[in-house]
Formats: sequence, C-alpha cells, structure tokens
Amino acid sequence: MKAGRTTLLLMLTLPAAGCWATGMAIDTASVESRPDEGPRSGAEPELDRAVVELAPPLGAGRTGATRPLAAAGGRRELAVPAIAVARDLDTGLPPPQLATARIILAVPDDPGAFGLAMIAAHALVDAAAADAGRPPLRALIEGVGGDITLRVDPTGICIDLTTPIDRWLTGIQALMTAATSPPNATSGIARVREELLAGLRQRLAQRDIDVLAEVLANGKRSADELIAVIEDATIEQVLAFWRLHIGPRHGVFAAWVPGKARRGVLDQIASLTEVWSQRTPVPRRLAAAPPELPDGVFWAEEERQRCTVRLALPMPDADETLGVAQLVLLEAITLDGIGGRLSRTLRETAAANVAFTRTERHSSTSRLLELTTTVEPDHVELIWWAFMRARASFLRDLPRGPEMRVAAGRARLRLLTDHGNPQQWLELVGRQALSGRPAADLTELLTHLNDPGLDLEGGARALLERPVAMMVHGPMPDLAPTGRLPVQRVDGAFLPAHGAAIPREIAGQRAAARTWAERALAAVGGRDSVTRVRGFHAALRRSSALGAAASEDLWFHYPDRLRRIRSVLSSEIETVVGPTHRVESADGRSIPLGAADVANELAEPSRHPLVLLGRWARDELPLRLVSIRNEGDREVAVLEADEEAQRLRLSIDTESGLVRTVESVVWRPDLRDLVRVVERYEDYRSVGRMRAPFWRRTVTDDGTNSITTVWQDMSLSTPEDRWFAAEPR
Amino acid sequence: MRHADRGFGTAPGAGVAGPRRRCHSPWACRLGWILGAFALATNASPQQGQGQAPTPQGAQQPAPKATPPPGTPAQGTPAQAGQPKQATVRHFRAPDGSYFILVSARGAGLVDWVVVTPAGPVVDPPGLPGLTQALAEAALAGTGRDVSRDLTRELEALARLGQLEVAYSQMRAAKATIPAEVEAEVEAVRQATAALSDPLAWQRAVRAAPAMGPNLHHLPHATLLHVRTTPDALPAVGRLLWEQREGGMLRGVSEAYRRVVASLAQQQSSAPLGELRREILALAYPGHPLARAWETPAEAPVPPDDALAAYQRTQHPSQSCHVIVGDLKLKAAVAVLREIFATSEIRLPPPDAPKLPPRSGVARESRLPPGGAVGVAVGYRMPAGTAPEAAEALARWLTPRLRTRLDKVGGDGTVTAPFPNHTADLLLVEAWPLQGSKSSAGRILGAATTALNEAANQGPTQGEFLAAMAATLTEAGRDRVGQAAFAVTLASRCGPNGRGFKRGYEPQPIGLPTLRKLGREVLRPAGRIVVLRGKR
Repeated sequence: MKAGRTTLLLMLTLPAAGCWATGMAIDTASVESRPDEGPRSGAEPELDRAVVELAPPLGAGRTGATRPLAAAGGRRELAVPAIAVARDLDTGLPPPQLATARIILAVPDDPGAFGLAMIAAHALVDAAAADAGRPPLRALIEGVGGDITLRVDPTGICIDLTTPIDRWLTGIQALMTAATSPPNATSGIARVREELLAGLRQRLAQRDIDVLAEVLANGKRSADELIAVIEDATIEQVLAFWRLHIGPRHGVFAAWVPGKARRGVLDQIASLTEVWSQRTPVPRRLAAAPPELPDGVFWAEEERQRCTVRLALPMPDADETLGVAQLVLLEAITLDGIGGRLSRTLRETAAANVAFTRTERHSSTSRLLELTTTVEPDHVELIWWAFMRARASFLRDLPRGPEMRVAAGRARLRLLTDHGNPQQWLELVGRQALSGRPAADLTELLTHLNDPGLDLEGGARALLERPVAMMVHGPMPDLAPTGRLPVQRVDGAFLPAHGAAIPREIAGQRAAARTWAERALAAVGGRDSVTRVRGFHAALRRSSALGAAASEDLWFHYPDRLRRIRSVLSSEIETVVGPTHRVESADGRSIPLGAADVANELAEPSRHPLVLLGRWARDELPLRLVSIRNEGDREVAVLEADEEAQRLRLSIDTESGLVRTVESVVWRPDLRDLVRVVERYEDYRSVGRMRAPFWRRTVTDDGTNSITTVWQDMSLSTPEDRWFAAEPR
Repeated sequence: MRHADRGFGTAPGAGVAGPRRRCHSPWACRLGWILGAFALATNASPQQGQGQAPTPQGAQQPAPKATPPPGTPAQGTPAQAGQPKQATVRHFRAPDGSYFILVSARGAGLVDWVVVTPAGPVVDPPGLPGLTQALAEAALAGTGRDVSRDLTRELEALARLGQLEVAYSQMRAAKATIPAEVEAEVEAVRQATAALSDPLAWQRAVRAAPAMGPNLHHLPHATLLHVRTTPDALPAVGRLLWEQREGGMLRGVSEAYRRVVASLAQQQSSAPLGELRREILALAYPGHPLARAWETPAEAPVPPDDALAAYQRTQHPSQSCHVIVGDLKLKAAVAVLREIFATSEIRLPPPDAPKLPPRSGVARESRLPPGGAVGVAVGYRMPAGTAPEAAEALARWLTPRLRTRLDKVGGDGTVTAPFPNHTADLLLVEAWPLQGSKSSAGRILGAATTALNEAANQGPTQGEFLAAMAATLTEAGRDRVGQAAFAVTLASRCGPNGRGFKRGYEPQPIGLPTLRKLGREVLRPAGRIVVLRGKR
C-alpha cells in the first residue's frame, strides 16, 4: 500500500485496567510517559501513553489480527491516554480530502453532570475566551473551511471536527487551545447557557414523537427535567466541570486523516496531546453508565386523527455477549421495519399491514433501535402486543431455514455497514472504548454469524431482558378491558409546549413562587412592612483582597435616587444621582455621569433583598419558581424575575425563609461586558420592625473577584420619608 | 471505440489522457483532484460504449483473472485478495437502453446501487408540481406481478378509484356538497382495492434479498432510489428493480401526492421571499418549465392516466441511470445486468428535453405589490456550460461581501447558484431588511447593487478565494465519506440518463483568475433581473 493512500484512525485513552489485563501490545517507544500532575487516588492505575495498533475495519490492506483495545469486564475508569492506529479504511474510492477528528469525552456518573457537560461543551465550541484573545472554536474551524458538530448525552460529549485534509492539524490545535483556555468572562458561559436553554425550549416545544424519544433516551421523564439539568447548573459548577473533565484523559480521541503517513500523524497528535495532558488533572471519576430506557407505553395524548407510534429498544453491538445472536433475532423480528415476525403477527392478529421506518439513535456508549409508524388509534395496543409476542416467540420457535437465512444475511449486511462506513465505525469504536469492551474483529464476527452453533436460544433470552419503550402521540381510545397494557399517560408536564402554553406554564411557576416569596416576606417582617420599603440609609464598609477598604454612607430610594459618600484612604468621593442631577465629585471637582454609569450605580442597591421583596409585594416584580436546590447544608428555593432585562435570581432558604443569594447578570460599563454577579447575604439583624442582612459577599465572574460588605448601621426608607423628597445637593 | 476502465484517485487530472496538469494554486489543485474523481472515462460517451465488451487499459487495470460464469458476481467477503487496488469504472448501456456506471471498489463487502430518474419541474405535468416525486414514492408499493392477488380485478379497481378520487376532488374544490353515498363509495372502492394486493410485498422482498432500503432521495431535478446489498444478492436486487420499473402499479398515488404537496407547501412557506423567487424565475425562463419551479402546489386530483404517463416517461430505460459502487467483479456484474435489463415494455417515448431560453442582454425589473415580506431578488443568467461547482464557488464568494454591505443598512442577504437546480443557470441574490430596520427595499437594492458591482470590478481577494474554495472542498468531501455517500453523490452528479457523466466531470481547477473572470462575466448590469417588494 502506498503511504499516500493510507488512512488513519487514531484513538486516545482507553480503559487502563483492561489494557494491562489482556497484555495488549503497547508501543511506548514513540512517546515518553510523563509524570502526572493531578491528584490521584491510590486505586488508580498507572498512567501511561500507549500506541495501540488496531486492525482496520475492512479492506485489503489489513494485516494481522485485531488486537483488543481492552478487556471486557465493565470497568469504566478512563485513565490511560493511548493512541490506537487503524492502518486502513481505504476502499479504493477517491478519498474525500477531508480529515475528521472526533473526541468523545466521558461524562462522569455524578448528579447534574449531564447539564454541566452540555453547557461546557457548547461553551467550548461557541464561546470566545476574551482574556486569551481566542475567538470561538466554531469560527476558527469555519475560517479554515471546516465545520464542527457537537452531540452531548448523559454519558459523553462527542465533538466532530471536519477540516480540509491539509488543515487537519490546525483544527486539532484549535480544539486543544480552546479546551485549555475556558472563557474567563462568565458572561460568555452565561450567554451560551441562555442560548442553549432557549434552543432547547424551542425544540422541545414541538409536540412530536422525536421530543418524547429524546427525553426518554436521555433518561428523563419529562421535557421539564431535561431543561432543568441546564437551569440547575451554575457557572461556577460549569467551570469546575471544565477544569476536571475537559481533558484528553477522559475519553476517546480519534482522527481519520486519509492520505497522510500514519507515523507522522501519530507523532503530531501525540505531541499535541502531551501538552494538553499536562494541563488537565488525572481523572478520578467513573464514566457514566448509559441511562436506562424505561419499559412500557408512554402515551402523549393529543387530538389528531391518527397516532404516531415509536418502538424503541437498546440495540446490542455484535461484540457484546450474545450480541451476534441478538442481532440476528432483531432482524428476524423487524426486517428493517417491513416484514419479519412483527409484521406477520400484526397481519395475523389485526389484519393490519403496517410499515415501520427504522432509525437508530446513537449516544456515546449505546444505541437505540427505533421503529416508527402512523396508525389508527385502535391499532396502537395491537402493535405493543404484536411486538411482545414476536419477541417471545423465539423461546419456542427459533428461526430456521429461509427465515434464518434472511435474518443472518441481513445481520451480516448490518455488521458490514457498521464496520465499513468511517462515520459508523467511529461511533462503534467510541462505544467500545467508553464501555470498556475490546475491539472486535469483523472476520471473527462474520464467522461467528455463520456458526451453526450460534447460541440463538441465549440470544432470545437476552433479547427478552431488554427494555422496550413504546411512545405514542395521538388520541387514546378505550383500551382493552383487560387493562394489561403498561401505559403511562404523558400529560402537559411531560411534553410542555413551551411555545403556545408558556403563559399557563409560567402561571404555574409564579403560583409556586408565591409560597416562597411570602415566606421570605414573613421572615423579614411581614408583607405590610416590606411593601412600604422603598430604600435605605446605610453606613457600611467594603473590603477586598485586591484593594484598600472603603467606608460608605449610602442613601438609596428605589428606583432612581442615590447619594453615596465613599471614603477611601484620605479621599472622599460623593456620588449623587437624581432625576435631574447626576454627578460624581471629589477634591472639589465634579464630573457628570453617563447613562450607563448611572444604571451601574443604581443596580447594586436595587438588588438588596428588602428592595426586591418590596417590589414583589407591590406586584412590580413577577417571580417564578425555577427549582428547589440543595446548596451545601441548605435547601433553597430559586426564584427568577420574569421581566427583568437581565437575569435576576433569588435563592430563599426554605427553612428560615431568608434571602440567601441574589444572582444577576449586569452590564459593566468599565469592562464593556456583561458580568455575572452573585451576592451572598448573611447575618440578618433587626432594623426597626424588620430584619435586614448585615454581611454580604459579592462574587464577580468566575470567583476571582470578591468584595465583602459589612453594614454598621441601617435604616429603611418608606414613601413618607422626606430625606429624598428634595433633590439631593 | 473502446470502453474505458480507469482507476480513481491517481492524481489531479485523473481520467484525462495526457500529462498531468499543473495547478498554481494549492486549492485549485485540491479541487481539481476532487473533480478528477468524477472524470470517469470521459473520452467515451455512454452511447459509444453501448454493446461493446469492456477493455481494461492503463496501468491501474486489474490483473487478468478467470471470468466467473454469468450470474456469479463477486462473493461478498471483505478484503478479497487479488482485487484491484484502486477502484475501476465501467459504463455501458444495457440492451433495454438503461445506462449503467459500475465502480468496483474493494474491501467493503457491500454494494450500493442508486437508480437515478428524472423529476422536478421539467418533467412534472403542468398544474401538478411534485407529481414525479409522488410517483417515485407510490412506485414503492410494488409491482403487479407478485404483489397483486388478482391483477385484472385490481387494475379495474385502481382505475375506478382514480376516477372517483378525481370526481371527489373536483367536488371538494368547487365546495359542492358531497353526497354521503359518494364518500361511501370512494371508501368502499379504496378498501376493496387495498384488499386485492399486498403493497408491502415488494419491499419485503427487497429486504429479504437481503438489502437495506430502498431509500428515496428527492433532488430538485432527479429522484434517487438507493439500495445497499451484498455482491451475492446483486442479481436478486436487479430483478426486483427491473420488476418495479416495469410493473409499477402506483397504488396510493393520490395519498402520496397529498403528502408531497403538503411537504412542498411547507418548504415554500419557510422561504419568506418565495413570491419574489417565483417572479424572478418567470422573468428568467419565460415559457420554460423551470419558470414553474417555485409554483405553489395545490391539492389537485391526479388523473390515473396522467399519473401512468408521467411514470412511464420518467422510468423509460433511456431516462434512467444506474450507479453501482462496491465489491464488484466487473465482467460478471456486467453480464448479469445485461441479462436482467434486456427488455422493457415501457413504450412511451421520453419527452424532448426543453432547451433553456437564451440569455437576454436586456435588464428587467418587476415590482410586486406590497403586502408580503419586504425584500429584493436579483437574478443573473450565467454563461452556458458553467460548471455547478464554479457557480457554487461564485455564490460562496459573493455571499459574505453582500452581507457585509447590507449590514451597514440594516439588512441581510444571501446568494444561491445554480438556482433552482443544477439544470438551471441562474445566480440568485436575495436581500431583505432585518426586523426593526427602517431600510426600504430601494435602499436594500442599492446596497446589494453596490456590493455586486464592487465584486465584479475588484474580483475576489486571495482570502475570499481561499475561504470559498475551502468551503466548497469541505462540502464536496463530506458528501463522499463512505461508499454509500459516494454512490449517492456520484449518481446525483450524473443525473438522469447519466448526462452529467456523459459530459464528464473534467477536472476544472477553479483558480482565482477564473473566479474573477466568471464574476465579471455574470454580474453584468445588462442582463440583470430585479424583483422587489416594498412596504405599504
């Protein structure tokens, strides 16, 4: 084979324990191993980089037998960055002059990790790192004529980079640069998060079977749950996730670079990943197990003439235990959606000639077989039972003769397709590596398929153990009186229409928020008192690690009056904001304030908990409940303001009813950027008949800047207070 | 005249006799390399190859081997020893007139078979836009030979059902009160017709061959039917495809047409400047079927005779092209295909392909009455013979320029070429004010005109050229990742009757000077067509 026609497939990171257990051929000569920097538990395997030669999926250029990637056994630790090389994907057709690089990063099995992974992955692709002077990765890739696609599921982040063949290294370098320079300005991540939410809401608003399937495949029971995984993620958590999990030791790296010398590509990737590895800590967590598909019928009722029905079940890979036998049996049942035992049973029991469309839904570690059709409502129940009967029929009547020939022929076709197409092969290799299975040899699998001793009986039993979910979208008729159909009605909560039904949805969330807001009012002095709060006068002291402490006298009257006298060292700065007078003066000199500066000055006191609660009590600030969260040892209700221009959230302690944090996104004219600000309030004390916080820590951006504010004195203003009635001097 | 068996992927200029061409631009080289992949035996036309034994030539021909008996194609095992290192191509016309392009690739153990038949406005009967698309879907409901339980009775029932459906649709269109007995009769005949056949039987047979598919790909100018199978099953699949072509019963064509109409209507409604597109096509191609390409489809009855006539015209062997890519023993495969595609009973002559009206040197302008989306469409006819790739590169270069200029006046825009499909030669510029923008259609037109004139005068910069070429390259490459995608892309480029293949995708390196020249030639004010609609 000419070197110029060689196609490469490179993989990084394999299950370590498996590698050692099987004595996999490891060539470490090309890349030196390197001490690890991150923390490591004692149980973790020794880290090393390995070069593993894989047999090609197909092709005349293949030499030698496949060497397993890792041992089976289900260990999910991902620790050893290794590079596996497939010698050839060449079929003699003109290569597409494109390089494809794929990184699949394992998502850990932690609560909330899915949402964090979604935000981090989208920020990786779509957010710029202003501090590092890095534009968004997508722009960089598109700038060299390539493109980038992203898929996130509860088990992994899958990033595909497609670039012109001679820019393959540029694309990978750009990806690694982006991965090692997360956006510092949390406004970048906050924007991505909001866009992600908006996009997800829009997509989930389409009331169709795909939405239902997406929700179930992601291990959720409602679209709300899917949205909540993003809503519940905080920026700090996303950054922490990024630091710990966006790294080469957390997944599979594969590159398909047709026409380049294998060794050269290998060395270049090895040196690149070496640098990247040094910047990321050692993984300590397990890769997530694929979410389990729920068993049963999920019926989303809607007034339509016919029902869309989708049967979904996990599809085995051929190299799994009894995988080949199960593939043969699945073909015998479905025959690609038209024919097979399912169709025959339907014709016999319901005289119905039903055609299904067959699709596959891929995730990083698993795939689902989906059969979709549209039928009369009366036929829906029959489809469920027909599938169950067809599946169970193998226990007494295994495929033989022509049926077996057809099923085996189709299974063979499927195997060849899975291994022969570069994209599908990359999917397969990713599943194998992340699931801790050894790479399978196609020839062996094909031989196994033709083996007369193929354990179809075992396959039938294994197939029966697989969950089956049937999703239905359409009117529900009167079901059979036996009532045996395991149906779960899917109501509006399952498929909330975020388009038309938003008012109803928000109305429900606002009602839920009322409970917590009322409790917060009670905790600080009661509705009557708080309703009258318009502002405050406070003497306070601010301090931070970065600058000198400052003392302030602050008068504030919502929404637009403020007077502040700030003393820093020996200087005194007075800021006055009123309807007609907006000025800052020091040392006898005055400068007028611009509109952005005024808005910035007013923003902070406007976020005081009592001011916010007062606005809510006067119906000036609609709040809705986002979620109830556990934060440390406290449970808090998170309320979000609906109609604020920028995001504004309050966390109310569910036990004490006190506002603990106020989170907002504000425009900082000095930074010319949106900045996320989190204010944490503590030390509530009595102020007249009410209670107000006397301690606050303000954290800006990613936690690098924090200011502590301690109130020394405070009094609250009401509409009758006169100290702001006149224009301040 | 000799057949040509040629290897793929030798170098830029593959498939072209003579010394290698030198490209001064690396991008042009690469693009030429890609296009070279499609330069399949360009010295021999499909007609020339008809009925002649293939004669391998050149250094890349496979080593001589014992010819397997007819009907015995390559065994479907991957990595067959002794197979040619690089793919070889053979094209021929079968005795019935069908045109075949066979590409023997190695290693995959799979065969991808794509049948290309004409579709779209050029072959759709007037008033029934999208009918050929519906026919392709209805044809999957099987043939009469094995599927019908009583062929004579079913044919009668289908004819009766067609007449009833036409009458029923006419009554609905006239908003007449439809008697209950008519509705009952339609339903009864429909059920009786359904009981006389098993419309899924043909697809079951395809799956049992074994094969994956059939999958339909609807292009603006053609329909592709794609089946993936193993080499062993090639004869079985061939017979099934022949049966489908010859005995298509068009069961359920009315339902299929309703679905197509709904889909086309949705597609058109998603284009806000649809009415401007319709108008510009009418001005660009007066009297030509392409003028109807953006016609809004209406749910019209499908007379059975019209449906059958349209089906036979599109399925006539002289109108179809078969692209087969995969593990093929070429000689054996050719023998098998010649045997299967020996005769045809489709007698209806294919229509003459209408020629595009000549380019006009007169500028035309049309103002639509206010009421719809505000915007501007500008069309330019490109020179005859402009390769689709060159047109796409031109559009890619112009789009960022246009958008940059429009951005200054609160607008946005895009450039598409060739429009509405690859048989056309129109470069379409669309521009519109952004939401909230106060720019009028006239101002938007002014900005667009400035951008296009500047582009014509200045030509592309090196950066613009590289970006346009890179995007073209990436898209062209993505369409060919994997054997199936390669087969579908090759088929779509060859088009019905393999005309694209006959023309040959000669390596046409698009260099910066070429693009500049094309831009200057196309963006002339003389032949420009402008359609605009302003605010109330």
